[in-house]
Amino acid sequence: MKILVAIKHVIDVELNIKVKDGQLDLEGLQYVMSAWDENAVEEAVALKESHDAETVVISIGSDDATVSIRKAFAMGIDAGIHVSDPNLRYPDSLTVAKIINGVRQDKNFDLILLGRQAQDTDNGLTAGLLAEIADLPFVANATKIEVIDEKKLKVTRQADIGKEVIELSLPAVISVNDSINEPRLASLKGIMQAKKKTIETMDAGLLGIDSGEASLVEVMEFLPPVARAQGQKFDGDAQEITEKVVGLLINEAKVL
Amino acid sequence: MTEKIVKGGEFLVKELNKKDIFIPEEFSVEQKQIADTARQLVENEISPNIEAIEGHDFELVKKLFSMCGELGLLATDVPEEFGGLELDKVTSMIVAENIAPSGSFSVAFTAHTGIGTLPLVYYGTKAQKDQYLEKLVDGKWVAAYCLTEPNSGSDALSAKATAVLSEDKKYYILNGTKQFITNGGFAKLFTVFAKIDKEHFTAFLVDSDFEGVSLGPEEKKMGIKGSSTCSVILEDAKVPIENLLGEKGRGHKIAFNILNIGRLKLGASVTGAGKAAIGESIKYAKDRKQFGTSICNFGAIKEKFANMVGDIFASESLVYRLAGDLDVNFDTLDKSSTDYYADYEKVFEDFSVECAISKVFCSEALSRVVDEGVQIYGGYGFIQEYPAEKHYRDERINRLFEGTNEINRLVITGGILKKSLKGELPLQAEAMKAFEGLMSPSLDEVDPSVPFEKEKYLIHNLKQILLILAGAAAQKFMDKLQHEQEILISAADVIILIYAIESAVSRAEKAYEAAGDKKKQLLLAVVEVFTFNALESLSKAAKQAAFYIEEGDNLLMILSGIRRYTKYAPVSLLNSKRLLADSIIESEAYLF
Repeated sequence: MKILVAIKHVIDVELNIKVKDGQLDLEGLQYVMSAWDENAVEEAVALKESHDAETVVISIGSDDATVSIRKAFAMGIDAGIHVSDPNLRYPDSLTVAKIINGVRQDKNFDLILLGRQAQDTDNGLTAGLLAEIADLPFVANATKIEVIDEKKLKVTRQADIGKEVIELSLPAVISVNDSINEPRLASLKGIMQAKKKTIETMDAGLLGIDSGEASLVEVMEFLPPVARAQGQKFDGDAQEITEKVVGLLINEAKVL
Repeated sequence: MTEKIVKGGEFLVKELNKKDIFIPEEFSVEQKQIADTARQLVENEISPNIEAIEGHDFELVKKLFSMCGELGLLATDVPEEFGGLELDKVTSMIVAENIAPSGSFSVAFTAHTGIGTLPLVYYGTKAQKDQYLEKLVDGKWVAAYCLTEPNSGSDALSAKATAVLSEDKKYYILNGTKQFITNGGFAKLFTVFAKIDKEHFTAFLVDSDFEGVSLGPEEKKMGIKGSSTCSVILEDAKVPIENLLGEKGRGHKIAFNILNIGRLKLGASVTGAGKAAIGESIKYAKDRKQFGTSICNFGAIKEKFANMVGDIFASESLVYRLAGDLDVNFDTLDKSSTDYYADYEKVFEDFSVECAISKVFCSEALSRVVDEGVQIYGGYGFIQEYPAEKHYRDERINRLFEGTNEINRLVITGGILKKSLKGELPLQAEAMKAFEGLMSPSLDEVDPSVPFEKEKYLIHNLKQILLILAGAAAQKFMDKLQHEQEILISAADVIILIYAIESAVSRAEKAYEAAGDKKKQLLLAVVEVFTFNALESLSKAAKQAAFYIEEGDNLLMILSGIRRYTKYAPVSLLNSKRLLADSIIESEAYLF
């Protein structure tokens, strides 16, 4: 089985994010592999360990993205593709899906794994768009993947109510939920071996994508999350407080 | 990486070019990933189990050792041939630093990977390594180091434990009691020091299952309560002659050289512990409200954070500078040579002063940090439920083990004097020049608008002070100087602080080039805050030494020299402190 895992190198959202003049303040920020993509990588490596599989990751973006590709190597992925293009710093989901599809066709992958959404944009569009463009079966939000045979998988997915068990034939696209596995820590040996693996660089243009005109949407402004207003504490007579609070709920909060 | 190969001790007589210092900002992608692995292991598997570890659940500790083994965290200093990874010292420090927030487990970990495993790596025969090393690397066996005895601590060579060859000449029969053995309760392999025929101090590899080996009860300790510390009792213990480690009568070589790397690594560990303590204190100071606002908004608290960051920045700069220097020296050695570890040992010996500095400076920096940590927590800092109390207790041992800080101070000044006597360091000639400089007026002008220029000028001057003191002391006491411990210790303080200030300043200067605007400001601020604090301590030590050494006109001249050479104007000190504090409060973590 040939597995392609699409990973995104994103701002570490655990850090305090600041906004300056309608744009993210990038100084001092750190970048990591998007959390759901780590689950996708783990699933690919686990499939490789339990069944014979060839695993490749792809990441799109600036040269920094190679850090996440190397992390995937350290976790056990065999090979990596970096699609680099200065115009692709913030590509939209459709462009990303087109690029992944280009690579997929070029290299004949049986299974494309993605995180259910990226940690930074929370769009959750790429997997579905990719399946649509590629005309492949698609399961979103998978919580378990089992191999039936070379050409068939049994996939459990988290639905709104309960879980669904789906049988699908390969090639296919699957996006994974974070409950599917616990991503392994990269071992020191894996990390040092990853150093020796090479990353193939591909040009979006060669895949028939005009990166200059690719994005259909553009982020115009970035607004920070609104800080939650301080709570209020009331002391004194219960009757008085109740009246005061009810008054505030009606007139200020306007919830009653 | 560094351009030039720096030698041990030469920082006192040479100016450091920023090109010749390794800084944490230069960590490779792999080194950062290794840091992540160690950090995440602590966060996911160790920290949630701290209570069980503190309650001596040694089965759990052994399981954690296996996990560390699987991840390769026990393999950093071991050759590939025996299942290791043989990574550089910088990477070893990264592992030690990131394991450190696990407290008691970190002590067990460091004892195993350092004093537990390294004697075998450096001095073991191939057969001994084949037999034991892989088990230590994969964490199936835990190792311990048995040097201390009830009546022999700092005076390690006065050990009473004995070894006698058995009649059939197949065994050494060991007798004696080894005390305060870290990992003693669950270790399988002990490196035991004993005197053959009460004379030849020698190391042995002792399996805990050998006949005649038993353990004393667990000690009840002030801190690091989760680590195992007990006596190892040898009663006619039968140790096969193949298990003699190194050479008969050369145990002191092993004991002292292993201490060098232990002291280096301790610097890294306490740096990691300091960062963790800072992180906890900030979170608390943000949550804790008094007078209607978070206490982190008060200048009294902000100032503490600024000083804490300054101390840890210096520790971190110092440890990685030293590890980087060692690495470039090790890189020149021929790994395939049979003398590889003998040459390796020489490099460590060459840097024994710096290793002792790492131990003393970083452990005392941590002591200041955890003390302020308790203070920030206020009354809650005194309550066991809060982390500050544990940080405070756990810190104390660092100033005691791996040689007390007093012994290490004597090693520092003693080591420098020895290098001078051996002609490896032109201390006398430089001291003469410094005296001449003292007599002539100062014509140097420093452009304060050039970043770090005034600090670099100060460092040059501080070295003059040390040279003057060393020259005066040598002249007055000659070969009796080694008995003047008060002077040696004051001089050690001057040496330690010169190395710490220089490490912090040169690291900042090098990092400044590639830094963004915000980071540039932070680097300037942290250097100003730390330099000022360290300089105050250095001035006291220098003056003290001057009073101990000289009297009359000579004393007055040296004191005026100290005044002249310690001039430093931290004109934006208050703003620097506030900037550091505000940034650290915003990021909720150590800044650099």
